[in-house]
Amino acid sequence: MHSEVVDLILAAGEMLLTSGAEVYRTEETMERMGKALGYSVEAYVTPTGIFLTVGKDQEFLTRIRRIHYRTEDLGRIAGVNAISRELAKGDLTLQEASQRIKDLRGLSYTTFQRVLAVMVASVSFTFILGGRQMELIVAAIAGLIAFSVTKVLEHFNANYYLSGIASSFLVANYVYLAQYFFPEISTPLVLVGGLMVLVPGVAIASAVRDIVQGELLSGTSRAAEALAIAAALAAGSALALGLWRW
Amino acid sequence: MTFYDLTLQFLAAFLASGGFAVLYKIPLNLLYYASLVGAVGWLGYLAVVPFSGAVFATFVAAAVVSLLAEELSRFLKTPATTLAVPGIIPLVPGMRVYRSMEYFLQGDNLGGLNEVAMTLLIAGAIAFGLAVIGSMFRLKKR
Repeated sequence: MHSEVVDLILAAGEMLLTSGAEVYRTEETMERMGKALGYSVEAYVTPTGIFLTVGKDQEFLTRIRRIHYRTEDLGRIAGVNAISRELAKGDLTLQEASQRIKDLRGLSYTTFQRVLAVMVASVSFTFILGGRQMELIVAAIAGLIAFSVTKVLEHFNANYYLSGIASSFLVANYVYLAQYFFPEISTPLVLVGGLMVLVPGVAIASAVRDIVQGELLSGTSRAAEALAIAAALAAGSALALGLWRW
Repeated sequence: MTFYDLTLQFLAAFLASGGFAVLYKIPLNLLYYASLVGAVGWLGYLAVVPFSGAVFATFVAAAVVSLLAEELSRFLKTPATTLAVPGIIPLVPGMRVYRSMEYFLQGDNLGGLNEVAMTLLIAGAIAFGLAVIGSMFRLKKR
């Protein structure tokens, strides 16, 4: 019984953290779930690992889970949140909760839908910046390239820094090539619109909320991650810009 | 800015936030609200920016996004983050990062640092807007 509870709480915490949730939310949710099942919980969460002690009647069980990857998945955050609420209300048993958390792993959007969303986002962002007509069409494909390069590199387990540099380099090359054929387009608008889809929005927002909650260590390390990604994107496009000007 | 322009800007911000929301795999029933939060926040930015400049306008817009996200999240029973993250997307200063990179590449370090400073100020304004409203709501809870 003990170890099943630890497994459930650890699985919930891991899912929250790897989906980009704030550290304080992860700790709170783990504690709430443990309390709902009648256990005392001490959780210490950082962006790269979870330390968890679950106890009852002077018996304690401690587990450590190392976290190596982080993605952005608001659906899972909302899903785990709903499960922990229902568990606290007593609407769910331990087994049902474990099953529901496993079910959350299923993809919520198809690749086609996500690709479409990326293109819509790139076009709209370029429009907001002031891009019109041809620039919008070029931006749609720029977003498509940025997204597909990242997905392909993900298969090869490339780290986020390399994948940021590679995709921004390729997108920038594409944009300058496009300008060669359509000299009237403004490359910065298209480039920024296309690369926006690589900006780690969830990490930035989580970092802010963690710092405000007093989770200074986790907040600053997430903010550093976001800055490193921004620097990688700038470096990749700077490389391409330098090549094309040369 | 004419009414027609404003409508187009609203629509573009709506679609940008919605696109990012799908990219971040938001649950389908929240997609409409997340897009709306982003679009209203962007209108807030456009309304303030002629009078105060980009930094303060970004702060106001981020506060609007956070306020809407917190209110809607109670009604929709979801963490406020799920609505606020796509909502701040139109405010992200991507263009300034690009310009600072371009200045540095041309050897104009002063211009580059100027843009970096503005980027950090705007990013700080987003953070500040989210943080102020977010912590106020957490006060209310206890």
